[in-house]
Amino acid sequence: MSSITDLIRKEIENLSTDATRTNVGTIATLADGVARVEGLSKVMYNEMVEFPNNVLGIALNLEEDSVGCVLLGETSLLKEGDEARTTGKLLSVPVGKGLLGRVVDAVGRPIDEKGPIDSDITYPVERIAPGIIPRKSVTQPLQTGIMAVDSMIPIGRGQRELIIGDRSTGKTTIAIDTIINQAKINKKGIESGDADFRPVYCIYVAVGQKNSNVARTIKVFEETGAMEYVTIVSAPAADNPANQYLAPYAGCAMGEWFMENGMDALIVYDDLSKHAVAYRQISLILKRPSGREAYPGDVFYLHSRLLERSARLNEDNGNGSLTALPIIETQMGDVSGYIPTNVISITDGQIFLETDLFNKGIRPAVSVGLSVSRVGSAAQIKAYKKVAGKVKLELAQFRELAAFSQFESDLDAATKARLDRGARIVELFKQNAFNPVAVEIQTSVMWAVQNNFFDSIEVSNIASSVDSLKEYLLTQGTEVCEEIYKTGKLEKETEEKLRSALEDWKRTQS
Amino acid sequence: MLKDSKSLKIAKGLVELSLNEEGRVEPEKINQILTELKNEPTRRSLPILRKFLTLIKQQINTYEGSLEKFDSNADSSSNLISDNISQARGKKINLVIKENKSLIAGFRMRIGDDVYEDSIASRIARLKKSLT
Ligand SMILES: Nc1ncnc2c1ncn2[C@@H]1O[C@H](COP(=O)(O)OP(=O)(O)O)[C@@H](O)[C@H]1O
Ligand SMILES: [Mg+2]
Repeated sequence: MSSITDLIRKEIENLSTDATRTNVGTIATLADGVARVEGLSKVMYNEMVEFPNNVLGIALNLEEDSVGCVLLGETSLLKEGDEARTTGKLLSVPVGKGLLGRVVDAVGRPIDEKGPIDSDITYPVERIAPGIIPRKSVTQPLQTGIMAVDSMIPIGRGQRELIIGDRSTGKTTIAIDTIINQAKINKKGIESGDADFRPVYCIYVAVGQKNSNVARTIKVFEETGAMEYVTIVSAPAADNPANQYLAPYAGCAMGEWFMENGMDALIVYDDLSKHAVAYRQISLILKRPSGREAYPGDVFYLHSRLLERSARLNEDNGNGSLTALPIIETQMGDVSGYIPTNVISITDGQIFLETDLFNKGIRPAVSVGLSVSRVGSAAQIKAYKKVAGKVKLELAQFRELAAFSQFESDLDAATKARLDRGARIVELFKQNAFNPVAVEIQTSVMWAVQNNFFDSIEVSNIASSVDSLKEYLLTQGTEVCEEIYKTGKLEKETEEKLRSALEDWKRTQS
Repeated sequence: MLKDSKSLKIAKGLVELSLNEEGRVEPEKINQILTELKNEPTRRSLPILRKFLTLIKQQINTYEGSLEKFDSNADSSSNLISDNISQARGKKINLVIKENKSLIAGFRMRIGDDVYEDSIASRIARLKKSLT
C-alpha cells in the first residue's frame, strides 16, 4: 500500500510547476482516418498530435491555414470541433531485445496477448539514415539457406536485396526461409560457444496482408522454433492506412537498435507495393497533387528514406548491420511499373521470381537472367565462391541452349554436356518451402555436381539423389562439413576428404 | 480541389485594408469592404469571404486572447499576466477574462493557437496520464 502512495508522491514531485505551453487547433473535417485541423500553427512535420480519448495523430501536411493529420487508433471516438494539441514529440516505438518473440502493431503495442513489452528504450520511427562516413562495404554473408540464392545471388549483411515477382510466386516463402535459416544458424552458433559468433535478429513487417496470412507466418515461425529471434510488426489490410504507412518505419527503428548496438539484424518488408498504396490513399485524402499512377510526387522518397536506413557500420561505429529484404509484387511480370522501378533503383539487387517457372515446378522460381546481387559476392564464403562461381553463367547458357536445341536433333558433345549439366543444376536448385539448407551442405552438394558425381544419375532422379546426399552429409559426412563451416574454405585437403565422403555415398546409391 | 491562390491574394489585400495604424482590425473598414463585395458580387465572392474570415480571425488572435480563471473577480494577477505576455510578444495583448470553475485553481490563457496553462486541473490530468 505504502509503495503506491510513494509512487504517487514521487510523480507529484516530478511534475513541473511551470505553466505548460501547448499549441492547439480544432478538427475542421474528419474523413477516412485523416483529420484536417485548423490552428496548430507551430506543429512540426511528423510530430505527434494529441486528440481527445487518447487518440494520436501525425502531422503530415502543413498548410497555411490548416494541418492534415493521419490518425492512429479509434477514429470513431473523434468528432469535428474536437481540440487537437501538439506534443513536441516525434512518434516513437519501443526497441530492444524485449521485442524478440513478440507480435506488435505499427506503433509497437503488443497484439499477441503475451503481456506488456519488456523494454524501456524507444526510438523515433523516422530517423536520418547513416551517412557515408560510418558505413563500410558489405563483407559478411547473410545465408538465406536457399541454394539458388546463396550460390548465384549471394547476400551480404547490410545489403538491400529486393524480392520481386507476381502474386503467389513464392516471395514471402523466400523471406520466411531466410528468417528460419537465421534462427538455425543462431542456435548452432550460440551452442558452439564461439565468442566471435554474431547472431542475426529478424524483424518481419507485414503490410496490408490478410490476417490469416500473418497468422500462418507466425505459425511457421513457431513450429520451426524461429520465433525467439523474430519480431513481427503487423499492419494488416483491415488496419487503417496510417498504420500501414507507419509499420515499415516502426520495424526499421527496431532493427536500427540492433545495428547501432553492434549487432546484426535482418528486416523483411512484406510488401512495399501495399505500403505505397496505403501512402497513395493517405495522400489522396490529404488532397496532395498526384502524378504517375496517381501516386504523390514524393513516393520515391517514401521508400528511399526507408531503405537507406539499412547499412553496414564500420568498426568505429560498433560494426553492426541491418540487412533489408523488401518485397514488391508486380502485375503480370511487369517490372517497369512506377513502384517496381523506383525500388529496383534504390536496392543493391533483386531476386526476380517468375510465374512460368513456378508453374513448371521449378521452385523457388528464381529467374537467373533477371536476378542479381550487386554487392553480395564480396561476402560469399570462399569455399562456396570456389564451387559456385560459374554456376550462374552455366545456367544462363543452359537456358539459351535449351531454347535452341529444341529444333536440333544431333548436337555436338560439348553442347550436350552443357545441356546435361544445366538440367542437373536446375533440378539441384529445386527446394521445398520452409526447408533451408546450411551453407556447408550447399557447398558440398554443389562441389559434387561440379565434379561429375551426378552425371550418371537420370535427371528425373536428381531431386531424390540430392535429398539422399544431404541426408548422408548430415549424418555421416559431418566431419568434412564441419571443416567447411569452421574455416569457410575448401583447401586441397578438405577437398580430398569431401571426395572420399562422396564416393562412400555414391556406393550406397547403386 | 485546386488551391485557389487568387482568392487568397485578394483576401490578403482586403485584410490589409481593414487594419488601422496599430495593426488592429477596424470594424468600420470591414463594414465598408462587405458592402463593396455585396454590391459587386463575383464568382469568387464566396471563397474570398471564407479566406477573409480566417485571415481576420488570425489577425485578431495576434493581439487578443482569453484568460480563464476559477474566479473572474480576483484581478491583480490578471493584470500581471497580461503585462507579462504583452512584454513577451512585444505588443499590447488584450485578455478577455472568463470564469472556468473546472480549473479548480490557477489559470489557462489562450492567444491564437497557443495555450498557456497552469491549473490544478491540468496537473491532475498530467498525473493521471503518468500513472497509466
Ligand atoms: N519452394 C517452394 N516449394 C513448394 N511450394 C512453394 C515454394 N515456395 C512457395 N510455395 C507455395 O506457393 C504458395 C505461394 O507462396 P507465397 O510465398 O505466399 O507467394 P507470394 O508471397 O509471392 O504471394 C504458397 O502456398 C507456398 O507454400
Ligand atoms: Mg506474399
